[in-house]
Amino acid sequence: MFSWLILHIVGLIPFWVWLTIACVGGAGYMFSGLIFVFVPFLLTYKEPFRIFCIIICLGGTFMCGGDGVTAVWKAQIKEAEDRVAKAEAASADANAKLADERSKKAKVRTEYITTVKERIVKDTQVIDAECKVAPEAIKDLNDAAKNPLKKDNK
Amino acid sequence: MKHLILVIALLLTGCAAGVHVAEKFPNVPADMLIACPDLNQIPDTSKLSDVLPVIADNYGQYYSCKDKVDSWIEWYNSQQKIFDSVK
Repeated sequence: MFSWLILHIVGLIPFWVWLTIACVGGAGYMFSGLIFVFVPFLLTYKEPFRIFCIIICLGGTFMCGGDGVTAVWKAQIKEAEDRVAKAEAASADANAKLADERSKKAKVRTEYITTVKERIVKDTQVIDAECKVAPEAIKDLNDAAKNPLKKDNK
Repeated sequence: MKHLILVIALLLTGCAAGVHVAEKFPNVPADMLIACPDLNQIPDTSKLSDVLPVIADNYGQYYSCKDKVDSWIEWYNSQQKIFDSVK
């Protein structure tokens, strides 16, 4: 509630308004004796008027301070926002660099595997000439390629 | 006088306000969020030339997955460094 008050009220109203309110409250309290000399029929309201003046003076003084606090607060928020923006930019930059690096590595890997597979195709006759793979070997290799932790392995 | 003290105390609570700026969780390159696929299975064959491409593909997949893990480590370290630098 008070943070809202400081942000939305103190932030919009200029400092001189609060200063004026505080001064008017102070002056009202100090000169209340003099004021009520000229309007004696209101003398019964002298004490409530004085209390009202004290409250006005305190409120105005508080808001003067609040204005300064708001300025410091806003500066802190701006600084924090700048820091976060800087971190986000650095993070995005690091990610872009990482993505670029990964795409280069993937390209090299794909090219390499393609080359190896082309070599296998080229050497097919030599490879198959003296070697016949037993079905057990295929099964064992496939079993080895399976993830034992995966439930739907057949 | 008691009321005056109460009013002053109430007014002073206005000073007790903190600053909070929301920080966004850092993004990750989209392809790093894709899980590694299972290894390919060899078809029923007696020819070694049919077996070898599958094995080669599986090796490729392993290195692709290894690269993903390495990237995650690199990502974590770089983001931690950035996070620590702005604290």
